[in-house]
Amino acid sequence: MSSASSFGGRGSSNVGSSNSAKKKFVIKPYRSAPQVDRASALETWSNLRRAIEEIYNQDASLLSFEELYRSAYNLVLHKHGEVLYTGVQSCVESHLTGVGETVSKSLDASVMKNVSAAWEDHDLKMTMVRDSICMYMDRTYVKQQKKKPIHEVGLQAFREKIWERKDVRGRVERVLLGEVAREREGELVEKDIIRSVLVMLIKIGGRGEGGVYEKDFEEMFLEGTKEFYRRESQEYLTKNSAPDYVRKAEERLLHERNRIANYLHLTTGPKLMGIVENELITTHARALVEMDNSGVVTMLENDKVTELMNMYNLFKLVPSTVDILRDAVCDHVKRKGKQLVQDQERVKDPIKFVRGVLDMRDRYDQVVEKAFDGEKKAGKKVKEAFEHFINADSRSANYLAVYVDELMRSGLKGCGEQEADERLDKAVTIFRYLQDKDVFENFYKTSLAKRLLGGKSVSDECEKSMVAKLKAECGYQYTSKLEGMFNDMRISKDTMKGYKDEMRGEKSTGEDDGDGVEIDVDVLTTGYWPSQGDPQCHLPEPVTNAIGKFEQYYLKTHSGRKLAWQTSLGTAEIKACFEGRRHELIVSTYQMCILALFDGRGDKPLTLPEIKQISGIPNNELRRHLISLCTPKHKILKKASKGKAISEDDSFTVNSSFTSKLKRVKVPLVSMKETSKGSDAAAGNGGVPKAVEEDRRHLLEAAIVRIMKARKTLKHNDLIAEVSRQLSARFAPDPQSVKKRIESLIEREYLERNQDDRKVYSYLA
Amino acid sequence: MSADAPSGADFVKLVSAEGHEFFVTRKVAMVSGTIRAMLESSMKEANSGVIPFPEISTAVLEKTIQYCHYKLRYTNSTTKIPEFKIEPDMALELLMSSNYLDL
Repeated sequence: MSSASSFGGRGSSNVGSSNSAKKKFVIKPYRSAPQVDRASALETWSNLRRAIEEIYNQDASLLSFEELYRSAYNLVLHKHGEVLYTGVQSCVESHLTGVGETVSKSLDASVMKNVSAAWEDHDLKMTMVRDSICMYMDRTYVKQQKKKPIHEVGLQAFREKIWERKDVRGRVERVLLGEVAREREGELVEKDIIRSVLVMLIKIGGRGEGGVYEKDFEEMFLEGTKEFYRRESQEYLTKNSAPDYVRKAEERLLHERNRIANYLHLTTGPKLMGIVENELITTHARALVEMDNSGVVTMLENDKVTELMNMYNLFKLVPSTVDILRDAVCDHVKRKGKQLVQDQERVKDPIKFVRGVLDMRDRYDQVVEKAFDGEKKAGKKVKEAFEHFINADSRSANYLAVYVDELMRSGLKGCGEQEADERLDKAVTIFRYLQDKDVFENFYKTSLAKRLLGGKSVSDECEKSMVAKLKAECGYQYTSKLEGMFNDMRISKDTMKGYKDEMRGEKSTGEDDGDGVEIDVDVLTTGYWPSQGDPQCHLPEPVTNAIGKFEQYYLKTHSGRKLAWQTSLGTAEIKACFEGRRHELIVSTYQMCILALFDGRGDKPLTLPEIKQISGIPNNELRRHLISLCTPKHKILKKASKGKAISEDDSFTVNSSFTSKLKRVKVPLVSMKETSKGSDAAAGNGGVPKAVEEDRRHLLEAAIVRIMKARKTLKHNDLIAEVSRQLSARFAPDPQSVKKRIESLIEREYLERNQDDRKVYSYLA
Repeated sequence: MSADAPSGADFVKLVSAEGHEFFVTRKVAMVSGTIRAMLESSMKEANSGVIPFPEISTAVLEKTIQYCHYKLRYTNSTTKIPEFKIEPDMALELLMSSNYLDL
């Protein structure tokens, strides 16, 4: 190499005279090195060409990098870049044409191996050529001329001379897809070769749409995958059960994931998984869920939680399919719930019903917890299902109240505080599902009143904690009446204490009432307690005297109040003498009145109309209480007619031969089956008891006025929505009834319709 | 350090046009893109660890090596970077050699 040195020591610029005060630079034009003419340029190139050939022949280690670099450098520097560029290009092309010939002759079995080997060789050699000979050219000439860097020239040549040969590409593609298919069938394949071929495709083709990898492989591969899984899943589904399918799908997904890791390009991953998930999961999700004998229903019926969990985990890959699964569970719960409600209609056992609901709840909570990984959405779905079937039957509120009543009367007996609390909590969870919370309140209030007045509660603590729980659920307003009831009981106790003290004081001063009647009074606040509305009956005189005294005492301290006596409630203890045997009978107030009529009558009978007339007890109640006194076990009265029922003109006498082992005899009331059935049916059909209906009317009106007062004007729909929202804690108002209330308020001139828009209401102050 | 140090060694030998030999660490030498490519290739220089520069004078090569040290020292440095002094009469040749060495 004899090109003139460019960096000789010869000065090419002069410094101004060093002794002048200011240094002055005089820069002369750079004296260019002697021109390298075309002939010597070609000679240099032929040297380089030989070097490239040596590189191809694996003899690179003897070449001097510096020499090659310098030669190429000088060529480019002296404007012969093109000679070098086109030279390298044609050199590489002709070499690759030869390689292509060889590769194309290889057999199918080895074509992949050969082509990837050719690629690796090419890649290595091109790197060497680029680094040594073409580095400077790439940096300067290529950039200035806006040509392709030499490496890309090499890639293009590889594509054109080798890959795009029909006898290479077509075969490689075929073999490649064949290998994948073989692997899917479970055979072992040489993953390394597949990977290196795919890496090659990525490298020679550039990325993105139209790249060799995408165009010549990925497209076909994905298409094939789709076909394969469409066929396989269809076939598998018809022959196997849902859990088997789920297992198989999981397996397939794992395989495909491994495939991605093993040899596919990263960007293929999501596309591949998308296709596989679509074919394996999305397409068949519904069929799987609904599959007879192994679908979700079967899993739930047979407690196959693990299978359900597997299915959930599979479906989770395609979030939209989980909805199908959740809906299936939800539907199942609804169906089960409906069945429960229907069973209930047959056996009429509210307690069993509520227990059934609780069991179901426990069970499906477990399902959500275990199979759905505690997923919130699934929990919500199940909750919706419960709400659905519980609210579909308006008696649910009643049943729940009966259930709690049972707990309070006997169910919680002997329970620890904690256990009792847990059981109440469970009842509250069902309470949460109820929409008609006010209906529940109504029933609960009635049963609570009976418990409180009859002293039937297992523990006051439990009663109070239940009310506290309801309060926590629905707020202060909901329980204010219930709390009022407790309050009344407490105050009554104090009042009675005061009254008795005073009585004792009177006795000691000799003023005795003489009748020996002691009374215990519970003073109830009207409104808090369920109203009885029963007419007062005629009490025996001694009792009337006693209550007269209490009234005096009470009104002394609480002037301005009015006491009304609820004779349909309460109990009495009476001493009775049967042929010398003394018994204490514990009976209801009505029974006391009846028995008092027989006092001192001996064997003289009384007829039903007579008793009715004297006592003033309503017919139904009278019959019920009379029957209770005539039962075989507690035969205090004898009735003239035979059989259980009482005829219209029956007559009664005292059964003087009544015996009992106990001194104190408690006479239980026969339950009012016939009568209660009537009221129950009314509640069942109309949905809501009358008292609740009444309450709702007031609540609705109050809510409407409250809202309108704040907003002044509001559209009809907005108003209804707002009312529903405000009252949702107590019940779900039906728009029709809201509309009625609005109309009634308009009539009473609380509201008016807007003149321009009839759908808008305004508030009238 | 032996003149024909093996490629794995820490030092390489750079030889100027006049035959002056400079021993520099690989790290410093590889500041130059060209030298880096040479040392990472599988050709003679990579094996021998000797790189002749028949077209670069001793003075210019020395300055170039100084610059490599300078660059290595102050790249990403937070301290104040001192000026790298270049004699004006050497400037153009240095420019040429930097172009050659891809500095």
